[in-house]
Amino acid sequence: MAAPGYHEYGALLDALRGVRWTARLRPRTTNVGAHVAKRIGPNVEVTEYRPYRQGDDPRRLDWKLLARTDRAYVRLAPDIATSPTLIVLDGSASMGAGLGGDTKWRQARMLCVGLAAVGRGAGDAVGLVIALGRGARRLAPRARGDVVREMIRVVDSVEVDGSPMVAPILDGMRGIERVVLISDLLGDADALLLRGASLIARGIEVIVVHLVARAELSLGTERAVAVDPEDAALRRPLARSAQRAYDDAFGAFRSSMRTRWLATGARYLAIVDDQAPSDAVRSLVRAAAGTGPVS
Amino acid sequence: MTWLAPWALAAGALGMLGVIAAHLLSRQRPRALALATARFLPTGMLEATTLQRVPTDRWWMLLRLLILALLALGVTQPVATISRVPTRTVLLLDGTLPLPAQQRAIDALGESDAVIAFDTVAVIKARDGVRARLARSASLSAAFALLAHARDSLASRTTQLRVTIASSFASRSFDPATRSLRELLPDSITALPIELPDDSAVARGAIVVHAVGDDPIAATALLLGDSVARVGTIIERGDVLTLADSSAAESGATVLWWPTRSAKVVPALQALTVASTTWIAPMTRDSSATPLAGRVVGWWADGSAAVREHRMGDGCVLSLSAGLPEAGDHSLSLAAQAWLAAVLTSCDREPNAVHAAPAWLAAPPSRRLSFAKRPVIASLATPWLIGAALGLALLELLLRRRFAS
Repeated sequence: MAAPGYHEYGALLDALRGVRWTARLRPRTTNVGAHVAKRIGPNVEVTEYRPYRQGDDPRRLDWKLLARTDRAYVRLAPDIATSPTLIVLDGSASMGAGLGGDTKWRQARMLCVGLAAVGRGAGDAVGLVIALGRGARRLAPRARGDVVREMIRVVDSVEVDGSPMVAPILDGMRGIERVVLISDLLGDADALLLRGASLIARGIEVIVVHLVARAELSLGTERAVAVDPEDAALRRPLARSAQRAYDDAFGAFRSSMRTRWLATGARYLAIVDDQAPSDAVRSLVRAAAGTGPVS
Repeated sequence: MTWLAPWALAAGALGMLGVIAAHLLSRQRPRALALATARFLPTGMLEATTLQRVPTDRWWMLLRLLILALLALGVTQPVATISRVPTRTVLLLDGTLPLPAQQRAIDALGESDAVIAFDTVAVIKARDGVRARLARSASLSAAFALLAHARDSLASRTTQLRVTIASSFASRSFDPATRSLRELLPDSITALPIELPDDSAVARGAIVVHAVGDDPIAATALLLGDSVARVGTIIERGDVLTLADSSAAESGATVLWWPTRSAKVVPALQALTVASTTWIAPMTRDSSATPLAGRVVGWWADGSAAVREHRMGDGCVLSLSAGLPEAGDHSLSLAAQAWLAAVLTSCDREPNAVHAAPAWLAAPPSRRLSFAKRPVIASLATPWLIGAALGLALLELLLRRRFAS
């Protein structure tokens, strides 16, 4: 499996320089970061005043106002915090096999690195979990400067295989404010929906990146037997006559996934494998922040 | 080259056509492609049978055709054969037949036919190598024995062996073994019709009697008139045979040498039998006389030899030692005349006559016997051909497994 060269990662990181990935939900963390936190704190930028109550920190009193009007008010401002992000990468065999080759997996890695770089640029801790057939490969969320390099090393060192269950990875998350799921959703899609809804209910922002290969959208005219890479027994004739039925079924599937994920409150974005990774990351960041269209 | 099971050629040809048809009607299975979204494709036939213009997998097809061809050739059991004539005739030629009859029988043969010429012995000759030769007696047993011995070699290069016989079937040519030897032969034997020259017009000549004085035999001979033998008759009553007698015998005459020296002995009633003809008369038996060696053709009443026949040239000499009384008319009796005629014709007791062939001669015996076991024809190439076919089939299996893996 050909891995993207470092120069490609470099070009992607250069293209994403300056991109801000604002958290759509206010993080509940206390670490000072770039996102407006859910917690109200003594920030420099005053957003509101309220009367002093016993127990308030006297340092937050607006002394000038007290001096002019003799009223004791405290200055309030929302705090800023980091948004620890976990990128969940589907490493099932279906991500690496297709009519066009391993373009889905390649795009998934680029998105993963790009999002990590953008997140790290905002000072967020970024972690990674890759669901593989032989077990999950984990990289704990970190805010260190070399986290992107470490992530590149990890995603380039694994090969997709098997038919892993991705949903269990979403259980028991602690300290995570944002989850990005990059998958073709051809595995345990229903279980993922349940877990995703559970996360959203817990106030965690969930962003679903539905990866689709261009070759899967247009099968072409070659006569062949299509074999599911995760289930060798699933063999179907690939012929021109099957194109229409395939388009209908696959389109219904994509539409169903989009509708169901959006219904849970998650951000859903379909990315095609031939899309430029930097553009895909920008679209993703905008959609995640709620400032861009959700496709 | 011929095949013992030619039907296998047709079966092999059908099989080869089937192989070619199978390669034309190829059941194509498209190549497999990994497609993560294969589940969204409708189900359907994964293989398609299509009719091709040119056979697919031509090397495999050629290998299979070769296997089938070798197998079919092996089952046909090819054997190398030499050129065969459809029918070969073996002529059993009796040497006692007149030369023209023999020659006609020989001329009726083809080039590939063979002749077993027999008199008392039999020899086998090619048609071009046989010459008509006159013999005095013949033995059918000798001919049958030689034919039984040489039959397999005679039949080896022909599809049908036909046995004919040209014989007079004289009673002397049969012996007790003849029928048994005939039963050894599995073939039908066809008797050729023999046309003999009419010898009724041949002048037989008179009976010449060399006797002195009033000889009773001379008187009896006079009563017989002309010679009863085929060529001529000389009755020599002298003590010795003359050169003229021998010459006449060489030329075919019948010479009866009946010396008269025993006439002085007192006669007694004796019975002389020749060819079922008995003459009873007072006679003396001269034991001191030394008769010529030869076949006994006449007997005294006690069974001892009375008349001997000695072949000489085309004729014969009959010797008899018996004294007759000088007086009396018993030599003039009809019995004496009949007996003398029987003696004089004993040399050619089987005159130029053709007897009917016995019925058991023609039809083959129901229980066929053979000296040599009929060889079982087997194809030497069959095991090699079938072995090669099986080897190639195994090779194809291994190659297909290797290519499949």
